[in-house]
Amino acid sequence: MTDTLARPPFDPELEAVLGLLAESLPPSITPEMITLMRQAPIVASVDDLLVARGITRRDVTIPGHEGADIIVTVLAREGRTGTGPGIFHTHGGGMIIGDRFVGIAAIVDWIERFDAVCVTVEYRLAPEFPDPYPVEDCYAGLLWTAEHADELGIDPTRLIIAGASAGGGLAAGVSLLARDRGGPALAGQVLIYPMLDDRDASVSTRQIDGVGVWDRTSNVTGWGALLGDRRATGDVSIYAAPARATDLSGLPPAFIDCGSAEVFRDEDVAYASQIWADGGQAELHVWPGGFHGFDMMAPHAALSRSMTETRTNWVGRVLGA
Amino acid sequence: MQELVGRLTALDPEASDTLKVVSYFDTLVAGGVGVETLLRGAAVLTGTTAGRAIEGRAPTRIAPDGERAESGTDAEASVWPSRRTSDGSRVWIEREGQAHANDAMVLERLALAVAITSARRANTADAAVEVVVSSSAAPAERAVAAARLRLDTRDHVRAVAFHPDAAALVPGPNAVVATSRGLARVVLVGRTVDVPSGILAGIGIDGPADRLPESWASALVALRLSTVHQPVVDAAELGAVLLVAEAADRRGEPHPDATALAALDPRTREVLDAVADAGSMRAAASVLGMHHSSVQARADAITVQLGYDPRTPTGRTRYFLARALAALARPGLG
Repeated sequence: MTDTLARPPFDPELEAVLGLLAESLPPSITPEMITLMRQAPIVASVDDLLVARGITRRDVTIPGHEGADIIVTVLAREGRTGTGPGIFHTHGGGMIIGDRFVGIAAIVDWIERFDAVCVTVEYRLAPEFPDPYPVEDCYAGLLWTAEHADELGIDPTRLIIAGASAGGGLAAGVSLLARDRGGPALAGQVLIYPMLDDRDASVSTRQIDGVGVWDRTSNVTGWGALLGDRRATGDVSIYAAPARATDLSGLPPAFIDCGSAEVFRDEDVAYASQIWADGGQAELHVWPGGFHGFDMMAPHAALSRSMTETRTNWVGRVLGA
Repeated sequence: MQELVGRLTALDPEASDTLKVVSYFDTLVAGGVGVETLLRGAAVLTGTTAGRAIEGRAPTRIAPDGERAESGTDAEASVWPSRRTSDGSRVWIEREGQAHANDAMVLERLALAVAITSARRANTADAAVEVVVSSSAAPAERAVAAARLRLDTRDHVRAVAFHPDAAALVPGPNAVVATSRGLARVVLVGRTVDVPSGILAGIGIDGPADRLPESWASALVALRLSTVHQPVVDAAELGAVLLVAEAADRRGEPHPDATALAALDPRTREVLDAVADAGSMRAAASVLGMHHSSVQARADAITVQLGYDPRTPTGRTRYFLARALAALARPGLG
C-alpha cells in the first residue's frame, strides 16, 4: 500500500456520487468478504424491470463445461417474431459474485432499440469453480446460442458478445476460444471496462489502491479466486486472462471502454493497442475521471450518459441497425 | 457495479441526511462544475425534476435521470417549492405532494452552489475574492485579482472566515468559496473589523494582499476554534497554536489528549474550562456558582482522569492545547 501513485482526479460529478455511496461500498474487497457479498440481494427487481419494459424471460437448462447443467436466460421483446440481432451476455462481478442479471439494464436498452434477442449465461463462480469453469461455461452458452439461432430468432451473422468488468474479460476469453476452436463467428465483442490481466503489474493498479471502486486489493481477490496459486505465474491461459495473448489477430471488431481512474485502464488500453498492432479493428474510449462501473452507479451523470450513448452507437453500427 | 454495491438513488423521503446533501454539493462546487450539473445533482437526490430560471430567459429543467426536460414557462415553474439565489435567479424542485425530509436542504445548497458557480463564471468581484485567497492560484493571477479589488496597494488586509450561511455581515469584498473542509464565506477587511455579536467568525492574520492565502488559512483555523462562548477568534492572538493546528491537520488522526477531552461529559468540560481560564479555585467557583471545595474535589478527580493537573502551569498549557486540538478535530469547519 506504500507505493500508491498519484492518480487522475475523479470527475467531480462522479466523485460526489462516490462520496454518498462510500458507506455501502468498500473500495477493497478481500477473500473473507466474498460470502457476505453473495448474500446481499443482487437484482431483486429484475422481473419488475423486465415487465415494465415489456421483455419476456425464458430460462433454459443447457450443458455447461464437462456437460454439467447450467442455466441461460433468453430475453426478447414481448411478441417478437422473425429473426434479428443476437446478444450473448456474460455478467460481471469479479469472477466471484453476481448472477446473469448483473448489468442487464444496459442490455435491455439494446433489446428494445435493436429488437435483439439476448442470451445471458449463469456461469459457475470462483473460487468454488476456478478457471476454466467460468470461461468454459460461457463458451458452452455461446455454442448453444449459435446452435439454436434459428429457433431463438437470431440472425447468426449479427450475433455479438457483450460483458462488463469480469464479464468483459470472459467475453474477450470466449472470443479467443471461438477463434481458436473454429467456433461461432461473432460480429463484434463489447468489452465494457474488461478485467483482462491477472498479473497486478500495471501503473493503474498501483494508482487505484484503497480508493474508488474495485481497487487493487479487490482485483487480486478476484484473480486469486479464479486462478489460485497460478495467479501471476507462467501457468495461465490466454482464455482466462486475455491480456496474456500475444496474437489478437482474427478476432471480431472490438469495442472497449473504461475510466481513467480505474485499475483496468492500462490493460484495457493495451488490449486495444494489441488488436490494432495485429491488424484488427477496435474502438477505444477512456473516460476522464471515471472510476470502475461509474455508468452503472451514476447513470444520471454527464460522463455516464456520454459513455452509454457512445457504446450504444457502436452496437448499432455493428448490428447494422 | 450497480447491482453489487447500489447505484445513487434519491435520498430517503423520511430521514434527514443533511451531511450527505452538504458534501454532495460541496464536492461539485470544489470541482468547478456548471449549473446543469448542479441541477442534475438536485434532481437525482430528490428524485424529482429540478429547475432554474433567470428572469426573461427560458428556464432550464433537468429530470432525475439526468435528461434535459422541456423548458416550460416561468408561470408553470412558479408553483414549485423554490429559492431565490443571490445571483438573481431562482431554483426549484418539482415535488408533487408532500415535501420530503431533505427537500429544503437540497434547495438551500443548490441555491448556494448556483450562486457561487455563476459568480465564478461572471468574472465578478466574487471570483476575484476566491482567487486572491487561493493558495493554488498562480501569484500573477492573484495579483490581477487583487488589483481588480483595489487591494494591491494596501499593506493591511485580513481575510475573515464565516460559515457559508452567514450573510455578508461585515463590509468588504466577499464570496462563498470551497475549502477542503466545506464551504465558507470569506470577507476581506482592513486592519480592524467589528463582527456583530453572536456570529461565529475567524479573523485571519494581517498583511499585504499577496499574503492573503496565509491570512485565509489562519482565518479558517480561527473559525474552527470559535465557540458560542468565544464566537470571534483572532488568528493574530493564537500565536503558536496556528503552527500546532497545521501540524494537527497534517497528522490526520486526533491527538490522544484531544480524544481524552472529547470523552468527558459537558459539565466536567465546563469545570475544567473554568479552572483553567479563571486561574484560581475561588474565581472558578464563582464562575460555576459552586463552593470552592467542591470545585477542588472535581479538579482532583479530573486530574486523575486526564493524567495531568490543569492547575499547574505546564498542565494548563497542555490543557489549552488539547482544547484547541479537540475543537480542530471536529468535522468540517466546526
